[in-house]
Amino acid sequence: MWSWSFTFKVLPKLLSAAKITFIATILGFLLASFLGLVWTLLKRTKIHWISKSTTAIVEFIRRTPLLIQLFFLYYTLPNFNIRLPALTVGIIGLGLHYSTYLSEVYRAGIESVEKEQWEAAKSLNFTSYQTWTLVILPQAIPPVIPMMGNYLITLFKETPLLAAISVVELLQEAKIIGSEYFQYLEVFTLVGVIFFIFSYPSSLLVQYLEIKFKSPAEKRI
Amino acid sequence: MENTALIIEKVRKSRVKKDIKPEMIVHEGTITIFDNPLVKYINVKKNFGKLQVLKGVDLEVGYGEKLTIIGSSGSGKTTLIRMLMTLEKPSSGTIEIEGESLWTIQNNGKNLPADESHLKKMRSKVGMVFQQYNLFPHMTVLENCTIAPIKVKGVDPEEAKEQAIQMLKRVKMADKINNYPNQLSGGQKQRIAIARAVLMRPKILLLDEVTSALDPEMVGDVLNVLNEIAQEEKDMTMIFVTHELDFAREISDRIIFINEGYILEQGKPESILNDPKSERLQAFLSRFKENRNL
Repeated sequence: MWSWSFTFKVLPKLLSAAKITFIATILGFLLASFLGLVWTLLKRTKIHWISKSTTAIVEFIRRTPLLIQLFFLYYTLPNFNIRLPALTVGIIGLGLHYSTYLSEVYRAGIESVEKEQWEAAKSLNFTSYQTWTLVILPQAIPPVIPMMGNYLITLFKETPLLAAISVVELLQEAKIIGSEYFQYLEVFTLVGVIFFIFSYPSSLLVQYLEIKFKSPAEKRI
Repeated sequence: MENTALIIEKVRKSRVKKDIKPEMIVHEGTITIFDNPLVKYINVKKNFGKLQVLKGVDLEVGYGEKLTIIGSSGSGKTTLIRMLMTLEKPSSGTIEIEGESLWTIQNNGKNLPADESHLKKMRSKVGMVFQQYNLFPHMTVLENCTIAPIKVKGVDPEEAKEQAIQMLKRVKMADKINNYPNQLSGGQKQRIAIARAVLMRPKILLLDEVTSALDPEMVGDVLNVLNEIAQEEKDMTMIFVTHELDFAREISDRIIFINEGYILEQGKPESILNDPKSERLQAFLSRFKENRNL
């Protein structure tokens, strides 16, 4: 039933489709990391309408399914004369959706910085930009790197959703090959194995980081 | 409690010059008036929710003066200096630094709440050392001492480093410049916090119970350093909040006793510590003597 020759025949094709999966993962995560920080900072501004509307937008994105957001972006952006390749739309969708989770991660990190650090920054007359970049974020981010890593892995595992908007990533490629040869066992098994090969070591890395950053209290004064 | 405004009026009419500092006019009551005060509190009140911590404080501080604020915990002494660092906003009243209001700005003759640029300008005259040191844990000792001079005052990095090393020698921490704060004892951290604050060259240095969090054997080191700095930095006004009465006696030009949100007594260290007028201060001081004899 299982054909090794078929397996090795389709493997290169699948690996090259895996490249698209990685590109979507990395770029999506970078976008999410950046936007997540933007949401967190906007939510903390003293200008009421900005913080309130940011909270509303972030909640809306987080409480609706990623698949719907992908469809929405893919099918409605052309109405506004924005025509982007499917992969780009997918990256924006993943980045936007995961930015709302990462925003919460950043918030946890920022709240773990003692309020005395803000006061010390004030007593040295830092501007608010300097306070964020020199004092708060360098202390807030390291402890939440493991949490961010978990979201990176989750995002990676959600990339097959991009198949729904015609991105030829790993799953979509497997489907194409399978229907070409009417042989599904090897291709879908390989897809699973490829996902596992990358997500399992990543989860070990996250565990290591968790230990490394475990005791932020000891690092504090 | 006598009406504070009345007292000030009385004092103003009957000012008598004494010889502590040339520009300083001393009144051994609840207020000392200066010809040219560096800091001026005018009927300052502060509420936290329903709790009124400061109930109307009038206080003037002179250039180069070493002032100590004593009082039991909860009396409002820390709040008083935190307002000067802009960490708390007074509920009412005025605080002036060099004749300029700290929390308000004038615009077309109207008083408006101070904006960030005004606060930043005023803050550059003030520095603070905290009870819990508040060093930056992700920076080395040297970085802790150079970051603000470089980023805030625009000092050349090499020069900032040079100044920091000189300053760290004065606080006897020059051998630890590459350590991180978590590798240091409380007393060492506090000496670095003092160096960090002094390096910004503030006109007013606030010291908020800087020895209260320390193990007893480390208190002496920190007090020695403070004593040296107070002797050497003649132009720097220093306001101490402390429970170290012997230290206060030695270092202060003037001591203020704050009680239940008012300045109850003030004057030269000898008269406050040896000859307290009010029952409250007498009780406060005798509690300290008892503790020392234990």
